[in-house]
Amino acid sequence: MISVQKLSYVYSPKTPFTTQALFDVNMRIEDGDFFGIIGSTGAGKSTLVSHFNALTRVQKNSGTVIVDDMDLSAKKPDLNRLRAKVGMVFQYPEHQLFDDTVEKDVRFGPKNLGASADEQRALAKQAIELVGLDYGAVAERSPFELSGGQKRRVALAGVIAMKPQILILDEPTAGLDPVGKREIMELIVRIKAVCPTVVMISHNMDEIASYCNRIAVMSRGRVIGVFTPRELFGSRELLADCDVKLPLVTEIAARLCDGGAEIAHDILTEDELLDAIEKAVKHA
Amino acid sequence: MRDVTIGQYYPSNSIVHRADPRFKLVIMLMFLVMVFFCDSFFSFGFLTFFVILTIALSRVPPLKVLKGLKMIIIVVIITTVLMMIFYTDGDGKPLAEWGIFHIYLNGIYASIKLAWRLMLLVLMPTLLTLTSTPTELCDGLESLLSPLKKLRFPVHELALIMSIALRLVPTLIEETDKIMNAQKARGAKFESKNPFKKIKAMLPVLIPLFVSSFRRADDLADAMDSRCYRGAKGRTRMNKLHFHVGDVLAVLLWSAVFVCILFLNYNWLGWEFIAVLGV
Amino acid sequence: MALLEFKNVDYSYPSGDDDFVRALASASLAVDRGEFVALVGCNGSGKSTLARLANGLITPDGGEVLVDGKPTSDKSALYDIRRKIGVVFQNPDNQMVTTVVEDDIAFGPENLGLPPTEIRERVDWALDCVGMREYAKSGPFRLSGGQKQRIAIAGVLAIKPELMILDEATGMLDPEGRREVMNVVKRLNRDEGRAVVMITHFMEEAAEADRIIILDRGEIVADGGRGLFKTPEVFTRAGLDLPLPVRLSVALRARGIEVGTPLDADEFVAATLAAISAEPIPPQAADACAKPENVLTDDVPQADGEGDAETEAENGGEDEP
Repeated sequence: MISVQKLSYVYSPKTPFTTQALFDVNMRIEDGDFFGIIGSTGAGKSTLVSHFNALTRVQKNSGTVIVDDMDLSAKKPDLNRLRAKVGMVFQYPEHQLFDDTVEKDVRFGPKNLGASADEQRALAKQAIELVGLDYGAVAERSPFELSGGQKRRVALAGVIAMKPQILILDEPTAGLDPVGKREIMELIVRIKAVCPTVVMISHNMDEIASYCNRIAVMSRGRVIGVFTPRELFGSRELLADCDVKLPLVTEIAARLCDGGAEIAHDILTEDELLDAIEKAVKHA
Repeated sequence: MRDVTIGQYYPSNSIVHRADPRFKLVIMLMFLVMVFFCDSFFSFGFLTFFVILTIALSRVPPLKVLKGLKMIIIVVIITTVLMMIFYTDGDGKPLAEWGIFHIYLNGIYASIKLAWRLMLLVLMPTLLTLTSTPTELCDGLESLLSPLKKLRFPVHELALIMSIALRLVPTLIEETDKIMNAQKARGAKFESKNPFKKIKAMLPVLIPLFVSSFRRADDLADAMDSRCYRGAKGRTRMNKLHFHVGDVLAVLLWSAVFVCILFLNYNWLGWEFIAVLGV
Repeated sequence: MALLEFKNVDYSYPSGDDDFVRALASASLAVDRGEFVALVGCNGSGKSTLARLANGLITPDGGEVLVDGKPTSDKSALYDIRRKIGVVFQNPDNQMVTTVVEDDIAFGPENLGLPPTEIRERVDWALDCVGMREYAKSGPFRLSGGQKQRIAIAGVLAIKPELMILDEATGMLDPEGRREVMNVVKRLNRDEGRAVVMITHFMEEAAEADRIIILDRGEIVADGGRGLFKTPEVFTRAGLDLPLPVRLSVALRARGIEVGTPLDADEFVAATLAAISAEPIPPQAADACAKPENVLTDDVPQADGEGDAETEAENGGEDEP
């Protein structure tokens, strides 16, 4: 569980360059959520999530962030315990790979948390297999020789190996081709079986609509609201207020609905839309 | 990178902005020498007056210029305090003393002058970078150094390298920040007393940084090749440097300031009022 | 003579110690003045290699790449080749040479040795083309990814190339930035008459081009007009998605509902509404794919003549000697 209360954040405080990145943010992410955060570039999404594992510290008198039983606005939260609990996957995570073999790179996290050599090996093996790579084939290879999609999986494994209970992903599919995108999303669903809470920042409304159960909409440092996909994408007033673009599937459904077809306007997946069209045609 | 003033051009159309960067660089050089010639409060005051005048003419908000001092303020304070407590004056009587520390009146004067000097040394270069784009400075330097081309010194290449470095340094700093955060999220610790361990702890940051720098360098080389770059040969410039009467006048004015400062310090003509002012 | 022509081009790059990876295998294609081509394929299909071969950043191992009839292997012709073929790359941060936008755009024309007044005109013109005039004096750090890519496009445009290749130039952008760049590219092709090769794996972008070339593991497996979308297998076999409207129409066909092959949401909505009200499919959706298509069978390399004929048929071009 992550609970954010009245969180504000200011970059370069007390200088002429002060910019406020977050204003009075309140939200609660429950265990088991697949929680989406959307908003245009500069809305404060990354600043917000970087609070969740204390990479950005809560500023004085600027609200609280609580992760399970840990108060991150406390003076000295137990960073080791926190970072084992909250895994963070940044944009283009493959850019952080550094070790000479895949296995060693994946062990880096568990090693930092003080796991024994045997534990490290076991955790690395589990993680590499979980992200869908062949352990025997890649473990001893240099991560720099792998393809783009494989590198991203190794980077993900590096975070998974720490056995987080909450996984935060910043644009996990950025820069991948369609197949790569789908594979990573399927992988995240698989990971969710062992890491029950997933928080995902994304610009891709199709991904957000088909995977998330709750969505926070951010704009200019504020959380405008937290909605279910159907609440958000089904309400035009809400979408207009939040300046959110529809997933293409929903847009087509809405326009068919406008055109007089008996099709719901809040459809979220392709299959739903196909069923609806089929029904409408048969009905006519 | 938000805190480093150098390399942060402040766009405006003031006469300082429009001045020929070659002349600005020459004046800057003269200024730096001048600061070292200043010795009396009066000469410092005199020089500071012209600095303030230039800042006013540049129409850069004074706060922006003063922000350049932020980086060195700690250095200034430490050196001034050290100067003050360790200054020994054979003739004078200390105003106060604690053990080996003495404070003399001349010591206070000397340390104020030191602080003043350091601040002047930072203010003008800050102003220069606020009023000239890095490209202008590189062009100016390239032009000033161009006689060296005769000696087969690669002036153009040097200027281009400088310009690219100025362009990429902020990007690399930002990237370092990102990678450090990513590794911290994986439990990495960068603070260690042992310097050897510290370097080892930095490897997970340095290696990805190198990898990405090489990638950037390759990308940039491709982009430059694709845009018909062939070295200095046959290249022209959009903004050809040309100086105006104002530029010459500015150099003359600053030369006059220089002469005045020499007079104020050395009092060659033995004028009494200077002797009085020349603490 | 085609502006850009690949004749049976092979290219491999070294990987590991003695290993080579084949990036392109006997690829042949021709692009003419004024065309708007989308080059699509998965990561690793050889798309970027193709872009780098086109302006002589690399030279083919076999076959040849000709720009206006001049081979890129001729070092002395490279400069002329690069004046004709401009490339915009993927990473918006790695293409700017200087810290001020207009100085950066001037870099190309400066390399051409143009007089200062003309450079000034070209810079202003290029900034207007991409709608970034007001940012002429800013630095790159306050710009969004989409804006940086528009600057990169302006930087190439100022050289006034006849063909612009965008090598996954939208790959790292958010949807907003992608739209910005797409609009600029379409305008350049339509109003300025510049040929564009858009390398991408966003199929919605590809659907806006007049001609689509599909690359799969180093081979050109299809090259044709928008009619290609009528045979969705060629896309899926190359590991590509179809644009959503096409995907929906294929799925509907499987359920016995015919909506033609609409390429965008407008066409799809019109055709589906017609199907629901049991009217005939409106002509624009049916016509979208009426153009001839040219799907190449699996492993047979494309014959030169066939490819050229295809291209020229589409453009109503000149006769081949």
